[in-house]
Amino acid sequence: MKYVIIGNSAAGTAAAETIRQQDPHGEIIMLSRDTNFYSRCQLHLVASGQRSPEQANFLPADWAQRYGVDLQLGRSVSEIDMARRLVRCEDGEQFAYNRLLLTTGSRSALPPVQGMDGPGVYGLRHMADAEQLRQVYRNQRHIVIIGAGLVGCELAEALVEVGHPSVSLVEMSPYPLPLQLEEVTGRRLGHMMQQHGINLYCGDGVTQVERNTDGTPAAVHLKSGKRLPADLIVAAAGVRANTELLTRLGAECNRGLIIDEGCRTSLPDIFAAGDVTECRDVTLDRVMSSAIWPAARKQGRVAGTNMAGGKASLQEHTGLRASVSLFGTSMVSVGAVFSPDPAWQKQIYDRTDSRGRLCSKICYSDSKGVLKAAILWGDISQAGLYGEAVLKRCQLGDLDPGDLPDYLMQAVV
Amino acid sequence: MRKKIIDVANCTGCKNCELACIVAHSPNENLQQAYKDGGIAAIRSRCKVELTSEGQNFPRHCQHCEDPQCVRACMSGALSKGDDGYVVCDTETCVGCYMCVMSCPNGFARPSTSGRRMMLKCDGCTSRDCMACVENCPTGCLSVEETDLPGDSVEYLNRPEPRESRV
Ligand SMILES: Cc1cc2nc3c(=O)[nH]c(=O)nc-3n(C[C@H](O)[C@H](O)[C@H](O)COP(=O)(O)OP(=O)(O)OC[C@H]3O[C@@H](n4cnc5c(N)ncnc54)[C@H](O)[C@@H]3O)c2cc1C
Ligand code: SF4
Repeated sequence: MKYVIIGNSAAGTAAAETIRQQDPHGEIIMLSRDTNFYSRCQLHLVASGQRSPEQANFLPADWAQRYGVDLQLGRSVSEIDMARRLVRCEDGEQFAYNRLLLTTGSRSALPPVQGMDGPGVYGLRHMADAEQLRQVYRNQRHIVIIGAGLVGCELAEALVEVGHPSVSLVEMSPYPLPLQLEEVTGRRLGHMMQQHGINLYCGDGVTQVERNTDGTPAAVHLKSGKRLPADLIVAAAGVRANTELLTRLGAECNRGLIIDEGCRTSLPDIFAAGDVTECRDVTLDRVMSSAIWPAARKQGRVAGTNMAGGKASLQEHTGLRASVSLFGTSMVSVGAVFSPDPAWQKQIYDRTDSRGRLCSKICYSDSKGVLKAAILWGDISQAGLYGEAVLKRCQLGDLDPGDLPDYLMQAVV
Repeated sequence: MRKKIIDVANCTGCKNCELACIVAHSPNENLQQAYKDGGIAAIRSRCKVELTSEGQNFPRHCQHCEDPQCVRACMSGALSKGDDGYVVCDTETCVGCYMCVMSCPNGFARPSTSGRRMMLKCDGCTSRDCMACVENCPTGCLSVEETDLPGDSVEYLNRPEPRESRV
């Protein structure tokens, strides 16, 4: 059996490991544009210089030998020939497959704004982005980051932590992390970021990038009419899934490739996993993409099992789970806190812990008392229990709004 | 394989296990010194005796799961399950993203309270001859057994039923 995996990140490597566990002798070929293994989740730390590119590696050095994977790194796939079951690379090399897995992830999308295309504007998705940012950011006086989602916030924090004096963050929503937080915690975070020196512009958007005569950025103009000086711009306001290799062949696709619970695409013997896909999310019961590492790993394992002839299906799959720590405060969010059902009841429970930190729990439960979504702020040590309660549809119960029922779900204060 | 057996029925709630865990993880295993140096707050016990809603003592320890969600979620490669069945964290590699904390269904992956951002969990005392908690358990609630049975590396006996299943 010949397995070809495109992509060597979260989903691709998880799939290779699983295939090898099931099929000791099959040939596993891993093709990737990336030239190294690295965890994208650490790119903001590489960009700020807090971690070296080597430290961002998430696999042991002998990984490929251990799992018997034929690594073909630095190769971009340009075409898939379904009729002849071949994968063609840009350099002309081609590889035959019996089962193919696409884990091509996504790329940064630049906001469609006048003046955005050109030098001085970066995304943060690949190691090359991070290395370039690391080389240039110190010499740029004003940095403007567009989008206060996970990547934007984490990058802004990292740049401020290493002492950059002028970091601005522009976000359309009224508060940062709009997909992970709600009004109260969101505004609290916004306040905290400002106190730590980030110039935060929420409820505002970039309308134009003003450029100097030499083409370098001069400023960004906001909807509100403000003009922010900008020497370096990072676009962290959206991604586009790298679906083209399969959409060209007619694969069913929304914004991501649609996969079933076995991670199969609509094309024969072609599987997909990770950020490039869309599938059913248990918390919302809706087909949607998941842009988190654990979800990509899980899809990779399910795809790998099925490719090798085993039986696995995505159970309790969700991309709506995030953990982020900013300026020493940790937060975890589970479920669709960004669009709570009007029928859900929202309970907020604040306390101060023994170290004087403000800790909050925000729980959303439906009319039957089942926990649907939750945010933990400050003390996150029990976050996994809340996640488990959402996935397993446990009742929040009649206890203190901060607690979950039964001893297992009890909040440990 | 060495498994930790927890017989809940024998737990009297003396918390010797918690204390032993703190001692074992204090610098040079010297609790007094750690206390004097003010570092005691940074040393958390990895295990915990809790009370169920019905007032029963329930010693809770990392399960060293057969399918460990903390390892599944780890994006730095710091967490791994060794051939001995124990899930350990390489603190040098950990960046403190806390996705393990978010993912452990038992609440046993936790943020460290020491200065550095990293996770903290039971290490199964893999560097010691006997697990500190087991060594210091006076009631036989905690014990170690050599077994070839698959599954988590920590087994419960007489585990209290979750409230949901009792109704
Ligand atoms: C800065 C940053 C911070 C993040 N932080 C977190 C976090 O804290 N927690 C979290 O859960 N998630 C985080 N994420 C998201 C997480 O990194 C992704 O969910 C995860 O990397 C998805 O993995 P993947 O395997 O699906 O795809 P990707 O990691 O996107 O990898 C895609 C792979 O496909 C290859 N490829 C693409 N096209 C081709 C082609 N044509 N030919 C050959 N190879 C190709 C690429 O080389 C790459 O190896 C973060 C992301 C970023 C950018
Ligand atoms: S920390 Fe949690 S998920 Fe990890 S092995 Fe222990 S109990 Fe299992």
